[in-house]
Amino acid sequence: MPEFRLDTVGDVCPVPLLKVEKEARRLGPGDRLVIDIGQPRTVRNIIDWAVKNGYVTEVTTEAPGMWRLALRLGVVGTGKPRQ
Amino acid sequence: MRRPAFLREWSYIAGATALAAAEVAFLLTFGSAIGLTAPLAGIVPMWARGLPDGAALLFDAAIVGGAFLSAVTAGEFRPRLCVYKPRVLVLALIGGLLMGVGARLAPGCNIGGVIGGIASFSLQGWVEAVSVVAGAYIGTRYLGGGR
Amino acid sequence: MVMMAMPTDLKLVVALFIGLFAGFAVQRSRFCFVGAFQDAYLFGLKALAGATVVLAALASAGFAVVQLAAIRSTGGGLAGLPSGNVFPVGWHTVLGGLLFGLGMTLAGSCALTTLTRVGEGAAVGLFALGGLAAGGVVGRGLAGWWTAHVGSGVVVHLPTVLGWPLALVIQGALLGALLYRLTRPFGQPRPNKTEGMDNA
Repeated sequence: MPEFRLDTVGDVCPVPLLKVEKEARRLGPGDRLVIDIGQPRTVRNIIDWAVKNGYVTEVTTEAPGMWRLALRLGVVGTGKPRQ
Repeated sequence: MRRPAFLREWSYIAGATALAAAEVAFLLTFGSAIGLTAPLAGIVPMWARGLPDGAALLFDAAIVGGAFLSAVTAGEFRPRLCVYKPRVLVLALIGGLLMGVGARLAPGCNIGGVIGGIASFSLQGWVEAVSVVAGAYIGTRYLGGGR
Repeated sequence: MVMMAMPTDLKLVVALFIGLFAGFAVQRSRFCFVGAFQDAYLFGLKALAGATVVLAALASAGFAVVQLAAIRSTGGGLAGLPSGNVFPVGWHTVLGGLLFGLGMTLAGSCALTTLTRVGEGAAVGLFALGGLAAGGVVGRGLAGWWTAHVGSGVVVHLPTVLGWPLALVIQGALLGALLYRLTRPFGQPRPNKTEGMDNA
């Protein structure tokens, strides 16, 4: 299962989610996107977006103030492939 | 999957309710709504007259302190400086300048002029609200979002 | 009002407590005015925008209760009341709001969240804060010039102009309509503005 990394630490809203959307458009259903996040609000933002699109997320705290969010795209047939 | 439990965060509505409660408490105590930007410009707001010097600035500091307390107790505090690209920092500075000027003109920032104004049933609050949204739209388009 | 007769030391303590509480609440709930606009406009996520309207509505309701109670006991008009933030409206408001909205988007945080970002440890907040302070000093001068050469605007206090009942109804209706527009499901989810992306 291909896994792609995205670094958003040091990005200020709305850049992180814009980057995530761009990557999500590039990737296909079942692909895994792992995002490094340095800001609590960004974690919330991406999770809200993922929930809206029906993607599955898993967040782990790497260190205080640093999170890794794993996103699985297009599971359950709800996210459409981009092209 | 909804928000993980260990993020220990509140809902947006809880935050809104808390802020509204803070506003009303402030009104009861001082007769005015909360304002954040006046002390940063060296202005002593009406509500702080009669209070020790720097009281209004201390209020702003208390907000920083409260956020710090929340972050630390949730394990989210992290000093971050080197992760930001220079462009981000410059934009922040310029954005701050524009906010500072705008807040003196409107008058009032998002909490003081918009929310405070609307809650006070003042037309100024509504006009500022629309103007802030318009300005945010322009800024967002300028930064490359939306079509 | 009983609380307004508090000794100044106690008032300062209350102010600090309110500030601590507000900062805590904003950080913990990830509240953000910039996000309220951008999440909705760029991504179709309207929760923050809705919560902002709820804030305005709850604060309005609370303010109305306090002020009406005060009127009941003093029997007077606006003067001497805890009137809140009733500022003059004019073109300075439009310009000021535009600049503020533009600025908060560039900085990524509004006045409140600039402070809370600093509390979270994000140094970018310090840059925005520095700008806020410097801009405030410049803005003071500009506002003074504006008042002297352009005009000082007009105070339009809706309950004074329309009477409390009508003002309450109109403001309540406006906020209610905004809230409805932001929280009601539209049937088929609308495409995001960033691309013609489909949400299933």
